[in-house]
Amino acid sequence: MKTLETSNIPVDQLDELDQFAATAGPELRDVLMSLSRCVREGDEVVVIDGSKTVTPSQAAERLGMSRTHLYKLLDRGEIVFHRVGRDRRIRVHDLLQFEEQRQRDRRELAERFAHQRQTAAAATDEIADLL
Amino acid sequence: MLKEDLTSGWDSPVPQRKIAAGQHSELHPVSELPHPIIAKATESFGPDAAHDNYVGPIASATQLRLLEIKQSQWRGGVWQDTKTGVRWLVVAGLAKGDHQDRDDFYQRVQRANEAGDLKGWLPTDDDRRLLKQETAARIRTEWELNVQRQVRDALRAVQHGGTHTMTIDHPLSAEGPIARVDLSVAAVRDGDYQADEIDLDIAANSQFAGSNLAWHLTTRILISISPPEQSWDRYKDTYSNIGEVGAWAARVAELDNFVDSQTLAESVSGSTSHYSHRKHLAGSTVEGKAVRALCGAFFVPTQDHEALPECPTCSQRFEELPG
Repeated sequence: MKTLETSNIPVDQLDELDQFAATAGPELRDVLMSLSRCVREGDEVVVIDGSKTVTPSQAAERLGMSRTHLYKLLDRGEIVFHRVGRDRRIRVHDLLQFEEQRQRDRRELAERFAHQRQTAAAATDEIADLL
Repeated sequence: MLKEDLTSGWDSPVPQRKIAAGQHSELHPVSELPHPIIAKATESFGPDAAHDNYVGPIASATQLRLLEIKQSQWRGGVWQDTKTGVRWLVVAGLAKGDHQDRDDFYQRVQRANEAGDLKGWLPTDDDRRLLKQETAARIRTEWELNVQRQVRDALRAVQHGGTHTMTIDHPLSAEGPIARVDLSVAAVRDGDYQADEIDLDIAANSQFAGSNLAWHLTTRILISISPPEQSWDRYKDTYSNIGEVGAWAARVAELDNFVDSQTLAESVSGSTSHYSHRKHLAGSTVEGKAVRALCGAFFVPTQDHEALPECPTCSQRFEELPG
């Protein structure tokens, strides 16, 4: 698994990449465009062999959470795992799928926190509609 | 009425400016606007009609039953909607020149009565909509205070560990429950890692899932437990937070104060400035879209973000970047 460092790419270079991507063939264009979008949004770009597996401890570290919390997610079936003897193993592919959803959900929560006033006003309207 | 009748006598210039600009939704609650005749109307007509306090019906208004109220030189006419029981202050003005002046309140009522214009004073659909919104806003605040109290009770039950389930009712009790919330605290004592981890499962009833009301409930519950916005992790409908040992017991004590004083806790947005790609994109500040920081936190950039102290994790990762 290789994580590509993208945080220091200036935005104007991404703009150039987009311009180039527009002139490329459709297959390459899609790859370059989604790469550019990931970098702009601050997402990590990871090149992996998705069939590789990690231990729960490695997974917890990779996700930046406590082992307790990760085991809870495994127990609840939120992250798919298999057993090797008595130990649990997680496919990197499944870990990334979980992480993608988690990032989406956290992003949405941050936006909901930032727009509390609008949500409150809309919630008031939802009550008023029932009066 | 606000616009044409109450052209003077305000205790503050702000409402008049908003009325002139037509920003009616900013005037809430209208019954508390700082004008002597509005204050008089509010105190004269309470929830119990038996205690209503008015001079009597205005004799010259035969087309419409108007109850008269007085406050120094100001006079007002109050109409009761018999269908809903709501009392509306529909006309107001000054008593002038021993009631001989053309602009005198009673003269105006009489002229309007003779011309058959009194019906035009009745509340419009807009007025009724504003009243509805105002009532809804009051109901929402009451409901939030209730939710805060419920969270306090649940947190007290699980502050040292365990699970507690609560049912949250819709602000309008006739609508039944709006969500089921499971709150659980795990006291983790792992040698070098000691924490009180908290998990929250919020299952909104299907007809309210994704509604603004459900979202408002979610943020209210989260803020009650832990106000710093960036302290929360989320996966689907599970919200998690890591507290130091004993943190939730301490939070119960803080919530006691909020509950007792009938005030709502407020969220705390990030107190540090993060490094992010989108920092250079003024767009996300305008759109209110969240960006991801180098440390992994999500935040919606605001104008004053740059002025905050730097996030240590972000700074460290920024330093480590090649080139």
